Amino acid sequence: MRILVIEDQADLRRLLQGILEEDGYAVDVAADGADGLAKAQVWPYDAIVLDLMLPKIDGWDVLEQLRETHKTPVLILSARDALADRVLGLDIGADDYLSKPFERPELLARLRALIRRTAGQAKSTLTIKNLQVDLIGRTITRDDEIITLTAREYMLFEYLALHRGKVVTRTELYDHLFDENDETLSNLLDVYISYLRKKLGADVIETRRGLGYVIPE
Amino acid sequence: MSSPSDAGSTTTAAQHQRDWSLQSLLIASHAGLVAIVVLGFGISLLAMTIHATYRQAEADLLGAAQVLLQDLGSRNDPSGLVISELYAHRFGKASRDHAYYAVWDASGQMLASSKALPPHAVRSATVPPTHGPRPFVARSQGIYLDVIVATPDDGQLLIGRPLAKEFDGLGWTAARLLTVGLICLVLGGWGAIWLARRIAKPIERMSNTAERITSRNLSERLEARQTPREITRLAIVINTMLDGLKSSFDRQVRFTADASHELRTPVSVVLSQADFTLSRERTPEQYREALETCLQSARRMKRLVDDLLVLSRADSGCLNLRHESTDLSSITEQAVRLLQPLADRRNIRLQTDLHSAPLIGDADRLSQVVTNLVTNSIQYGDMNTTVWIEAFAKPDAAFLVVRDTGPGIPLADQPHLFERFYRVDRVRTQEEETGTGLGLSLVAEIVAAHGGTIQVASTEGTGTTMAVQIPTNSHA
Repeated sequence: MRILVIEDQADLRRLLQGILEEDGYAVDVAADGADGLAKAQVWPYDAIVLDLMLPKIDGWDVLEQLRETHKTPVLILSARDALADRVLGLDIGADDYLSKPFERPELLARLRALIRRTAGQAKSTLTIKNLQVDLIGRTITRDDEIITLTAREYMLFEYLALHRGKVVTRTELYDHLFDENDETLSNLLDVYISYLRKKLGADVIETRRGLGYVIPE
Repeated sequence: MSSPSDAGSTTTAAQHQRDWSLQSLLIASHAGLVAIVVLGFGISLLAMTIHATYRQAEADLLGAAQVLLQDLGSRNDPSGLVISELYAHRFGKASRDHAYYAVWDASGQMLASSKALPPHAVRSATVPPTHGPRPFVARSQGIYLDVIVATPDDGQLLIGRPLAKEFDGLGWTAARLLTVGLICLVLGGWGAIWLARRIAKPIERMSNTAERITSRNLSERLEARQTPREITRLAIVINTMLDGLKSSFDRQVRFTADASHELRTPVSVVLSQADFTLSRERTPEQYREALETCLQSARRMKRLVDDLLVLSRADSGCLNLRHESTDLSSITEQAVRLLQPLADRRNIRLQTDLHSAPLIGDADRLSQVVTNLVTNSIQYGDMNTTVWIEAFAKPDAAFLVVRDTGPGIPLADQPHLFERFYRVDRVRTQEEETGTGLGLSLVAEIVAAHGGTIQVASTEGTGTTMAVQIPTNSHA
C-alpha cells in the first residue's frame, strides 16, 4: 500500500513518514500543495494524507483539483478543527478528517479503514481458502496458527487479497508497494511471491503468464 | 433604646425612596408643579376679587355718606336722616343687607342713628381725614363694613352695611375657581402620566433588550425608532459602543482560535514523535533524533507562548515598560551581533550604520523590535544579499531603519502586516525556523507603547524598508 503525505511542517512530515513506513506502507512526501497535487495526479496512491494550510496551493484547492480526475481516498489531517472546516473538507471530497494533535493508532486505523473501504471490503476480516486474514491485527492464521510475514510480504498479500478475483499486473504491484525513492530490482517481486507461496501454500496466489498475479475468489 | 430599629427603618425608607421609578418621579413632579400653579393662581385671583369687592363696597358707602352729609347740612334735626333709596338697590333689598348709620357731634355725643345699629358701630378713635385719596376711615368687622367720615362741625358720620351679598358672590367665585383648578389638576396629572410613559417606555424597552445582550450574544442592538431625540441618541451611542465591543470580542475569539491552531502542530509533533518512538525498541541514534525533534517543537511552543504573553500584557495595558535612559544605536548593535549566525547561515551581510540616538524607554523591548525586524529581513529576504540597518537621531525622535532587497510584500498584504498570525506567504519562510506569525504584531505593540510609529515601504521584487520612529522626550 502506498501513501502520499502532503505536509509543509518538516518535523511532522518526517514523523508521518516514519510512522507510516514502520506500519509497512510505502510513503511519498510533498512539502507544498503544488508538489503534492502533481504527485497525486501521477501515482495511483492507496491514500493521501493532506494538510490544509499549505504553501503555493492550499489543501482545499489541492483536494478540489484532484477530485476533478482522481478518486484516490483522502484523509485531511489539519490543525483546523472547527465544525465548518470539517464539513467543508468532507463536502469538497475528503473521505475522512482528523484534527491535530492526533493519536498515532487512530491515524493508522482510519487509513486502514479508508483503504479497505475503497477496495470494497467493509469487514475487517476475510477468508481465503483455509486462511483467516485479520486486516486490523495484520495477521494471517491457518488452523488457529499464526503465520509470520514481514511487513512487505503482508502488504503484497493484502493488496492481492483486497483485489481478489482480479488480475493484478506487476506494474500495479510496484506502484502500490514501493515509494518513489525505492530502487528495488524488479525481480524482487518474484522473490516476495515465492516467499508468500512457501508460507501460505503454493495454490493461494496464481500466476497469469504475461499478465500478473491473482488470488482467485 | 430603640435606636437600632430606628436605624433599620431609616434604611428601608431610604431604599424605598431610591426605588422610586423614573415614571412615578416624573408624574409626581409634574402633578406637583401643576398643583402649585393652579393653587397660586386661584389664591391670588380670589384675593384680588376680595380686594376689589371691598373697594367697591367702600366707594358705594362713601357715596351714601356724602348724600347723608348733604342731607345733614340741609336740616337742623339729624334724627330724621334716612339712607337714600337710591342705594337700596346697590346694597341689596333683603333685610340682612340693610345699611345702618350713626352721627356724632364733636364732643362724641351721638346725635342720630338708624334703628338697628350693630354693637360694634362706635365712633372712630382717630379723626377721619377730609383730604387725600381716601377721605374716610374704613373698618371691617366680620361681614360688616363701616365707613366713617368727618362732618362739617367736627363730628363723625358712620355708615355701614353687612357684605352678605358680596360674600355670596365671593363664595361662588371661590367654588368656581376650585372646580376649574381641580379640572386643571386632573388634566395636568393625566398629561404627566402620558409624558412619563412616553419617556419611560423606550427606556424600559431598551433595558429589556440590553438584558439579552451577553458576551455570547453581542449581535443584539437597541431599537431607536419613535423615541425622543435624547433617547435615540443614547441608543445610538450604546449601539456604537456595542459594535466596538463586538469587533474587539470577535478579534479576541479569532486570536484565541489562531493561537490554539498554531500550538496544535508542535503539540502534534511532540505527542506523535514520543508515541512513535516508544512503540518499540529504537537505536540510540533514533532516540536522539526523536528527542531533538521534540526539543525543537518545544522551543517553538515556548516562543509562541512568550510572544502570546507579551501580546496579552499589551492588550490589558500592562506591558510594564521600563523608563530608563538608553541609546537605540547600542541596543541595535547588540541585537544585530546576536543575529549574525542566523545571517551567516543564509549568507546575508548585515550592514550597519549606527549613530547615537538617546531616548527614554525599555531597552529589552526595543531590542526585541530590532531582533524581529532584522530576523524577518534575513528569513524572508533572498540569500546572498545585504540587509541595511540604520539608527540615528533627529531633534525630536530616534529612528531605526531596516532595509532589505528581498522579494518585497505584495500590496494586498501590506494593510494586514501587523495583524496577529498574518503570514504573507508561508513558502518563503525557512522551514526550520518558522516564525510564530506574531513578530510584527509585537513590534507594533512595543513601538506604540513607546509612543512611536512604524512605517513600511515595500515594492514586490525590489525589497522592503521598515522605519521605526520613537519620540525622545515624551511617551505614554
